[in-house]
Amino acid sequence: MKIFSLTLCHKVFPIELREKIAFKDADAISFLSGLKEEHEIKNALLVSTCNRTELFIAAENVHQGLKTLEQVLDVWERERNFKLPICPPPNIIDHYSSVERLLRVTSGLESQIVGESEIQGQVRTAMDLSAEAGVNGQVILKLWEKALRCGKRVRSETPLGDGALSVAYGALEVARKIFGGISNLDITIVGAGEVSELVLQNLQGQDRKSLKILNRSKERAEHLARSYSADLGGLEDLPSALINSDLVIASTGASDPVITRQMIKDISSKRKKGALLLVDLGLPRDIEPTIGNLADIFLFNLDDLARLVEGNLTARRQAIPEAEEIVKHELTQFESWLESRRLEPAIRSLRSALDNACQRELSHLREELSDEDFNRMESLLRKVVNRMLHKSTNEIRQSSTELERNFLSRLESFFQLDASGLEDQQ
Amino acid sequence: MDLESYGVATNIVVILLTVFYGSLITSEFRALRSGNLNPEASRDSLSWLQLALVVHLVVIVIRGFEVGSCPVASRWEAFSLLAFLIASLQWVLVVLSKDRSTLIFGLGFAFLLQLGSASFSLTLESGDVSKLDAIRSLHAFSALLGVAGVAIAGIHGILWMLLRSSIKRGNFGLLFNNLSSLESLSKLLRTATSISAITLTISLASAFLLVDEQNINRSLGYESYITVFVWLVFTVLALVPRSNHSVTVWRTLFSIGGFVLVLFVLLWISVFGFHSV
Repeated sequence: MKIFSLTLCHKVFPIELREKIAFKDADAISFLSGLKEEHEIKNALLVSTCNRTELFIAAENVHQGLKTLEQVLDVWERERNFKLPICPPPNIIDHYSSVERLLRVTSGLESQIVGESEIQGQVRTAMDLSAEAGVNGQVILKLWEKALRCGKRVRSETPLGDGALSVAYGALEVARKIFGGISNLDITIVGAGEVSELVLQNLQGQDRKSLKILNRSKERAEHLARSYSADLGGLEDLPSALINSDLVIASTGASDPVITRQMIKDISSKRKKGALLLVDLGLPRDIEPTIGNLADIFLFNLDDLARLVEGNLTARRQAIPEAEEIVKHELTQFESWLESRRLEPAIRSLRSALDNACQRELSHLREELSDEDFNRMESLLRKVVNRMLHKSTNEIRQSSTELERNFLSRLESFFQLDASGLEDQQ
Repeated sequence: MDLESYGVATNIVVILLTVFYGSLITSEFRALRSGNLNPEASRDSLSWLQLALVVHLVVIVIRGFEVGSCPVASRWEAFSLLAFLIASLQWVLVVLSKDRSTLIFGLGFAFLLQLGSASFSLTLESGDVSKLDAIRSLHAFSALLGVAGVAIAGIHGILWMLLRSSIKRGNFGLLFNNLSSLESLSKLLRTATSISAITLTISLASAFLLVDEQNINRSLGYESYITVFVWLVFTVLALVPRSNHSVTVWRTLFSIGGFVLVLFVLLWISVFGFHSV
């Protein structure tokens, strides 16, 4: 059995095309069910995210695999009303590259942000859809398990997934380094522009004690406050927010700093909290730089956070060769498993031939031996056959990838088996 | 067993323990590199630490039975016990806080002490084996536990200061990436401070039972005065809550000061031996 895949991802196709190809869960289940009924595919996995739609199938032969994927692509183009460009051509890839592809995708090596972890969850969910559609056959299940294992190893054994890669996320990473987490923090966002929204997006889904948005004009701030369940206030509330907050992120677009050194000095005696983290994402800057020299204040601006992000990106890039080694190792293991699976009929046949030979010889002794002796003799012969076959079949399985193509005919000549029977089973 | 073969056996055990701690530092370094700051993430590595601690404890208990008291009478025993207490205390902190980012530093200090113990064990003499009564044993053990607490607090204080300075300067390098957080270090610091304050209190209380007019001059050395001073400071530090950032800065500075005094006490013991013996 071989793996084939159809790959439509962010590296080749623009977002306009990708959004036409993307599948919702219900559509994916119905598509996979159709694949089973129309093409008799029992092993399929569809990974569909905002950055990629990738279909992996296991087919009996190259013809079936490639033909199925070509037909699938035709149907998609027709039903979803798009046409893939001729150059570059749609990416239908063969067995070895397909296996490697899924391992790389799950490890985050093919992600837009190298090393991002969401893809592992998406691949995990993809198998639920396959199971619901009844195309979670043994081969694709094994490949999926290998891919998840590979992704897990890459994340735990290399720094590929370490560190933040956006300035807004970087601000939260610094907050975690100071406060140990953000769930107990009172957070204030000053400004309601695009950058503030980006910060709010990063905060979404994370626990925090309180969240407040302060803005000069309340109209846009009101919309953000509603969307992100935050309290609302004007810039006149800034001093009290500085007294009660642990983290203040400012991005207002104002020409002069909105948080001054004098303001901090005025509130410092009233502040009963620990350190105050100020993050200035504005340009021009919203927070006076000299505030960073005060004892209980941590101040970061865009350049500081860009340095953090750049450092993380470099570290991730450096980890790619290490991650690729893990992918290579897992790939070899999967190939060995697949090859050993190919040999199973031959091994079964060999065992059966030896069992038959024993039974034939035993039948000659049936008259001469008592029932008890006959049973003992039968048991003894079975043990001998098992002992003879155990080590050799294990070795055959382990070295299956190195065996030559005419292995079956050699097996036949060694043990004088019925070659046609073997081929049939194969 | 004659003195020579006894000495050889002791040397082997002490050197083996040193190798144990050295290996643990290596494995901890690997755990740090792979980013496993949560102890749950790499149980194997903690299991080896637990095994090393159990072996070390067994050695200490056997030695205790051998001398009939807490084994602190000689320098190699005191250093080895202190190494064990520091490693154990560090392990307790990891288990309580689920933060193993500082474990390597505690183990590093334990390794150095064990190395000191190994070097003292090479000059083993018959006079090294002496017996302490129950109160002296309690006094010495609690004093060493207090010293271990001060050392651990000092190590965490230094790390807190370094991480704070690194974050303040926007230096997102080795410390930023490998230490957990200022908050977590501050909690560990407070816990270590409290443990040392409690154990030093026990040690000083037992010391009062030991002092009489005849041996008062013999009992009190520089390290005794220093210990009383450290006890005072650490008791105050333990009582002050973690209210704000400035309190932590002061707590850190005093902890580092305490650690420097611990180093002085260790140097004193390594040169002049224990005052109680």
